[in-house]
Amino acid sequence: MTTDEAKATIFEVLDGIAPEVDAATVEHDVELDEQLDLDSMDFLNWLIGISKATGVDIPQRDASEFLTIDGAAAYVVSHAAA
Amino acid sequence: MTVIDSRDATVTLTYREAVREAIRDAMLQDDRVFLMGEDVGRYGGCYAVSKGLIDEFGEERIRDTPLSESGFVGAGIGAALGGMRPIVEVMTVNFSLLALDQIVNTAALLLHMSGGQFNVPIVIRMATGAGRQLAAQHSHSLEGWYAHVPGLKVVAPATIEDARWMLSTALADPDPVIMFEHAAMYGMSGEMAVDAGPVDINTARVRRIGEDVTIVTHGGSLWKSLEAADALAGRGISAEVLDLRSLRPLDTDAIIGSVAKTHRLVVVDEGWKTAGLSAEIVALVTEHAMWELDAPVRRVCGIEVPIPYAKHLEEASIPQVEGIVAAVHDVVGS
Amino acid sequence: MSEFVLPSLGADMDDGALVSWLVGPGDAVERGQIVAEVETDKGIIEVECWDDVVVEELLVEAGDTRLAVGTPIARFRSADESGSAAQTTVPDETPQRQGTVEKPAAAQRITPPVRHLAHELGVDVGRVGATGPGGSVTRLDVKREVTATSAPPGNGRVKASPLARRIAADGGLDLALAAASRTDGLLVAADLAGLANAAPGTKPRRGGQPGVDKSQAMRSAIARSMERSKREIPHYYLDMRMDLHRSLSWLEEFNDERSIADRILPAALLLKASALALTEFGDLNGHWVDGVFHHSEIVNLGVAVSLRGGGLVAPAIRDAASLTLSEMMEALTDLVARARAGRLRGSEMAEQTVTVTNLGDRGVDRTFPVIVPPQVAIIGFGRVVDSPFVVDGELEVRPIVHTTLAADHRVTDGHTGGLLLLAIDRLLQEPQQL
Repeated sequence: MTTDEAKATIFEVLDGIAPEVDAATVEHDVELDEQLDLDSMDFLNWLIGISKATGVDIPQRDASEFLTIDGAAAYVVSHAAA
Repeated sequence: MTVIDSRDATVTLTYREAVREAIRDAMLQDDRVFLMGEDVGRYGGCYAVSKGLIDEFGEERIRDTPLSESGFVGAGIGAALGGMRPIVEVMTVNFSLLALDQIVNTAALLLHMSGGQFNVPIVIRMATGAGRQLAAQHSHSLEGWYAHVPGLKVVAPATIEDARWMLSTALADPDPVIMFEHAAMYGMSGEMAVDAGPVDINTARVRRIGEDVTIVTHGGSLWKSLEAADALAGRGISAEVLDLRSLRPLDTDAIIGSVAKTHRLVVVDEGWKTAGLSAEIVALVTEHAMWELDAPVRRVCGIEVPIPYAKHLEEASIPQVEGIVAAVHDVVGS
Repeated sequence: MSEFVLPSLGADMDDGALVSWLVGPGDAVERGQIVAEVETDKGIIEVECWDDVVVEELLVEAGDTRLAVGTPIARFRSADESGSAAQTTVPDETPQRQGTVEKPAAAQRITPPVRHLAHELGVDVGRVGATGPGGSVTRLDVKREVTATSAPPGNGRVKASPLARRIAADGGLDLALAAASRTDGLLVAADLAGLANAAPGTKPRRGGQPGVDKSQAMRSAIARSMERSKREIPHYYLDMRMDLHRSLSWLEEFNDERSIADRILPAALLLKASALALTEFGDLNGHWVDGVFHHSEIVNLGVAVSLRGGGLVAPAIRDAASLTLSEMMEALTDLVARARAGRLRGSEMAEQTVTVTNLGDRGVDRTFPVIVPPQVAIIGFGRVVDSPFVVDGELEVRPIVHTTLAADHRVTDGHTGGLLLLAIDRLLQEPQQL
């Protein structure tokens, strides 16, 4: 999986959780909780969604990698099967 | 005098000149068109509308008629049935009462009674309204009566552009069109786009966009309504002014659309209030836009008296700017 | 055969629009099955039927018309009744012979047409003073009775413009609460701005789309509820700092062993602890209605869910005290998802016995929550912050949460409230027991 593919999936899942967000306005290297209104349940659902869509398991201790879009994409790419 | 400045996109002319130009243009375009009426030929028209036309077109096409409205309107209907396109000028709506049978019982009905065989492509122009101290029998505003009759189309050009261009559309119509020109507007001067062209005769126009109240009006009352809107703007009230232009058919969509936006209605009509055209407009609004109304409706109409002769009384008997402003304040609740 | 009426789907619901039927005539319905969707100020709520029945007839067509709570919307017959349409026997009437004169009642001489008029006008013939020949009741007598007993004109009618009425109807506003700005006393649209809780400085919504502005309707509903709460409920507030070290450590271990889809958020712990504590202190779990407190055995925990784009609902997790932590987490996730999608069920909207609000994620240290009538308590959790905390005489850094209880002083005193908070704290120190 390439970084772009990972990001596309990540944004798709995000869109299901926060449909009012315009993906174009989200900065990839800025912490998401500064840019978006996501509570802990949204965040968990986002991780679950990414995990389901990419097949990548995300243990609790790795959740901190998902603070930014770049971080999330990097994790997915490095852990994806192909 | 028509002033055309080639640097501008507009031309300045009077209402009277606009009507004259409309007649002239129609006659140049189509040999079947001719003008007939009292004093339209040698005298040049009692409002000087047809001044100079007899010299240009001759007395066959600019025809002076006897003092008999019933007779010459009937002749005009006959000419229309015979394939001509007559413009019949009736000096004022007051005198048209003598031709009511011809207009309402003949011209308006022939198409229906002939089972669709006989159109009557006649245009009848009439002056209407008060304000020139011509007293009761010369000052009626009876366009509402004509708007009541199926089989007629009724228009009221209130702007220079409409005065210039409604006539050609009316002449092209295969059925009777009655055109009302407010007598006090003939001397009014205004600008018209140089490239203006034929206009429709069945829609209303918003002459001033507003948010707080809709003023529905026509003819001579348009200019008083616009002046009232100016005064109201100075007091923080934004009035939308809708010029009906066509009195039959009424542009219901435009009326409802405007009231749906502003939620308040004032109707201005120089004709008398009782059973008048203004009542029809209010009825339409309550039928179609009841849930948009945020205040009772007000009508500013002719007072229920024969039009007085004395100037100050005449002024008091027809809608004026202050009366329109007061009605709007009433409706807005301030 | 029984009539199914439009149920109340919330404490302050007066009406709703039956926007779709999920069953039709002849369908068998199981207890708990959703039979229709109703649109209320709080969004679309699913309506359940609580008996085993068969649908006989739908009395109302799906649409936008608002129906009052209690309006019959369907006829059901019990599942054990016979399938064929119930035959009602026509009572055996002896047919009137032609020409038979109806004998007037002995007390009142009145001809059939006048009797019919009285019936039409809702007049009790027995009370009418008769002035006709031979002491008979005339039409005039009946009409006089109508004028005498009818309410004076204008009584109870609010003078409001059609537009104001429409806005009030759409937004569930009470015209009686508006003050007229016009000198003639007619209420206009602008006068409703205060009722709709518009932000200061905003022009009240005018015209535009006729029909419901949903966020406006929800805002009005929240406004009404909160106004009532602050007007009627004497709140008292208690606050306690709770050490979540044990809970969060335990939770971390718990989650480490599980796949992401089975993980539990701290919120679930807080909800479970609250629900359990409330089973011990029943005076904080129930409804205050007409001066009487009705305690509830079960804890139906209302969970405040903020909706994306504005608005707030607090649907219930039913019987929250009996759920395991995993079940609680599942219920919470499902509830939040459905709340945000506008797909809540009637029972969730009407049965809350207490509410919990958790704004910790939003960064506030402490909440000062407002009780949702007719409940008598609300628990609020703030942000979990690493803070100095004294443990066994030593200063340590612990994850601390401010827990606030707001309660109805008509039912409980601070003592009880304090004991509840202590109970929640104790439970959070033994997370494995939750």
